[in-house]
Amino acid sequence: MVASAGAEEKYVVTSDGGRVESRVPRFHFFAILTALKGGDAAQRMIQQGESGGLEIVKRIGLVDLVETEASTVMRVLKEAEKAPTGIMDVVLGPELSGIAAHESVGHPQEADRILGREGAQAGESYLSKDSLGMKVGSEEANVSDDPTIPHSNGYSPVDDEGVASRKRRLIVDGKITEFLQNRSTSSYLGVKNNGSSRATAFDREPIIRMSNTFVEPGDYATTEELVKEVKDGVYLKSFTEWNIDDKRLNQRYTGLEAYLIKNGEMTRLVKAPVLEITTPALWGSVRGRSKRLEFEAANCGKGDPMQGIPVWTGGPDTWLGGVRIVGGS
Amino acid sequence: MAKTMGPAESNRFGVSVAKKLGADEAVLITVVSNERMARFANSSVTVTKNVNESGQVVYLAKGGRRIIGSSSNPEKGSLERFIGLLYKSMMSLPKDAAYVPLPSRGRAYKPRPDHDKKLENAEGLLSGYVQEAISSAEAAGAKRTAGSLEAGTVSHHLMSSNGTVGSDTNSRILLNIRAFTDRDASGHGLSCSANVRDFQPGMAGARAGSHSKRMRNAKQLPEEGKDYQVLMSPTVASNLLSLIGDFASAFSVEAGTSYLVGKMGKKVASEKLDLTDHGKWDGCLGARTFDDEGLPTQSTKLVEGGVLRSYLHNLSTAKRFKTKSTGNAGLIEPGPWNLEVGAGDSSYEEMVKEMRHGLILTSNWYTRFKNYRTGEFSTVPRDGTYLVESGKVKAPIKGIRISDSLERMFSSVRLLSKDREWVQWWEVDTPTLCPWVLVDGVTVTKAYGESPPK
Repeated sequence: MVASAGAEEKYVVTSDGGRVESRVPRFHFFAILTALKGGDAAQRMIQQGESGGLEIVKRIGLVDLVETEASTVMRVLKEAEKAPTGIMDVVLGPELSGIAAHESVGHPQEADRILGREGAQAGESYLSKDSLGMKVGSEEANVSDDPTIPHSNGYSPVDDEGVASRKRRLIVDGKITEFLQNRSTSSYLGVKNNGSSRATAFDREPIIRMSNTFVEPGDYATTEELVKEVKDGVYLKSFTEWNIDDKRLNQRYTGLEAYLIKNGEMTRLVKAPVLEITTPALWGSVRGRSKRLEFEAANCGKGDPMQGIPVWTGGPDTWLGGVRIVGGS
Repeated sequence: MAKTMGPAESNRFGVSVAKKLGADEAVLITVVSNERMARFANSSVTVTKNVNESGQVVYLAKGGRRIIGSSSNPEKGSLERFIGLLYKSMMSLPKDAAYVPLPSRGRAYKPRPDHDKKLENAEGLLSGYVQEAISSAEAAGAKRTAGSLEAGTVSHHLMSSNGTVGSDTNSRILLNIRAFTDRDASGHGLSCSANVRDFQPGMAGARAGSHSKRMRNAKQLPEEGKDYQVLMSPTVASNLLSLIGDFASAFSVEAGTSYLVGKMGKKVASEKLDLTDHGKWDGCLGARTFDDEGLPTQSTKLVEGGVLRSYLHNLSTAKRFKTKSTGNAGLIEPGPWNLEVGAGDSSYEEMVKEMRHGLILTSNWYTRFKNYRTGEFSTVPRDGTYLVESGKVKAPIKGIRISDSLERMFSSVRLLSKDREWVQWWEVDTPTLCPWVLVDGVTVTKAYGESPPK
């Protein structure tokens, strides 16, 4: 377990008259929990982080969180049975909705990737500069990035080029509406800058970064109400392994705490179901979203030298209709 | 005006401050990096960077308590305040069961004379090398390129309260280039070296360009399966094999985040596989004469003939494992310096001929573990990826993933090449000398669903 607390102090000066002085304190917690039983093992990584002082420890209920997660990972090890394989409905909990929003919406909509500037390492995008308005999801696919959320891990109301940030609607009703921009890319593309440039230190280059990226909440009042709509499927509450190709088209999430859904109810725990899916298939299959909006902290890596930057990933429960799950070992 | 100090003076001052405060032991490590970088995209330089950084790591111990902190402010008053704060924090801590005293007698290490002085100020070299790499890629068929060239020196200066004094300077030059012919057709090349003499930007560019040309019209893999033979380039193999170096850290073993827990003396890989960590070695990129506890580094056989022979230790983990330090401290955790994968006796052509049904992978990224304890992982191949049937390269392939476990894969090594290359880049932290590696029975998966419209 690692806990860290500190404050980021910045003074940004630009030749066009910008003067921005800021101080953002943050608390961050990371842990890997390992449960062992006989020769078997299950592992859970947890991350929590917010901007603010040490009151965050109480606000996020850190001690209870670790206890609950430890108990869950042990339960997964003891009780989880083989997951089904096949085409079925899948409900992503907020943690899964958030990572999917971050990896397959936020990253490919960074304008510097789209223009090829990150091609050496972090990669490019399946989108081109002409993809605004392109349909990449169902009417229910709505994803945003908002650096102005109070207490958020990715809080950044003014970016590191001295530009006021605002909420960015990345996908609205399944269509791409906006890319993340800095001064250079917005000028090149002839669009308004949305203040997405951030650096991790005074001697690092400000580059386009996400802040708090999330699936917008929907209409279902509760998780249970949404799950009632699913006859057979899997609910993915948390995940372990994940990755995505460098054009952000081919992603994989392996469930940790995951439940079989039968006749609209979550039943038994299932072991390591794998959702390996293309970006259009994932966002094109969204059928509904719950109202509850939750966030997880993450440290997003990009740039060279590497700049790990604090972000939130989040969302509600997101119902995917008819996607492939592969049962784990 | 605030007084800043050089590394030796800073270390001396820090140790004296710690002693005055009453510390039983103190270690000061000052790291000075002086690196130049040029990044390019769409075949033009997009940014150049000068990174001149200096930072101190401070270790204090008193009455069985210990604390470690780091500071990047070399100003005298600031360092004094920082050590005072650390000392005060340490005294509020309970005694640490992991505490082990430093050796009672220190050592004086002579500075190594072997770093490449041409890389002390490499700014004038970057443009020519970038152009050479881009031109070579374009000559080999690339339409555009993106890459990063980094060159410079990093020095570690250590002083401890037991009298140990040492100073190591390493030079390195790293080029990473990707070439593109269209959105789905890319190739990767890299060259990394401790000196200008062995650096090959033209080779890296030509490799990237050639793959980008061969990857045109790449197809989806016809079917997923658990029976692919996979021929991994040194770039891909070093990404996975260097992780064994991390898993061999006794810290990872104690934390339960290693699949090597409980496997000392047991078979963890094919008998063809040897993996050795070297503190210093001819031509290596990250040579260290001494570790962060001031002990001399050494060569440690981690895997020999497929059998796990050693974990990597600092003083603290060595005591708990009832063994000696391997000279791999890390004040908090031991880790590898430079890894060497043993060579085989095959040529690349012989390895391809040996393949009945498989894939050639030349680059990968985003390796993530489902479970560090079991070593189950997946990684995403990118750039040059080719289907091989009956010993012949049949087609370029896109959109796949290797989903397997490290132990299973490395227990199924069929062949290793006699030629090896040094690899260090975004996906390989520890410099690794690695051959091509052919592995049997690998699980290859692909994503469900359609591709987006072009």
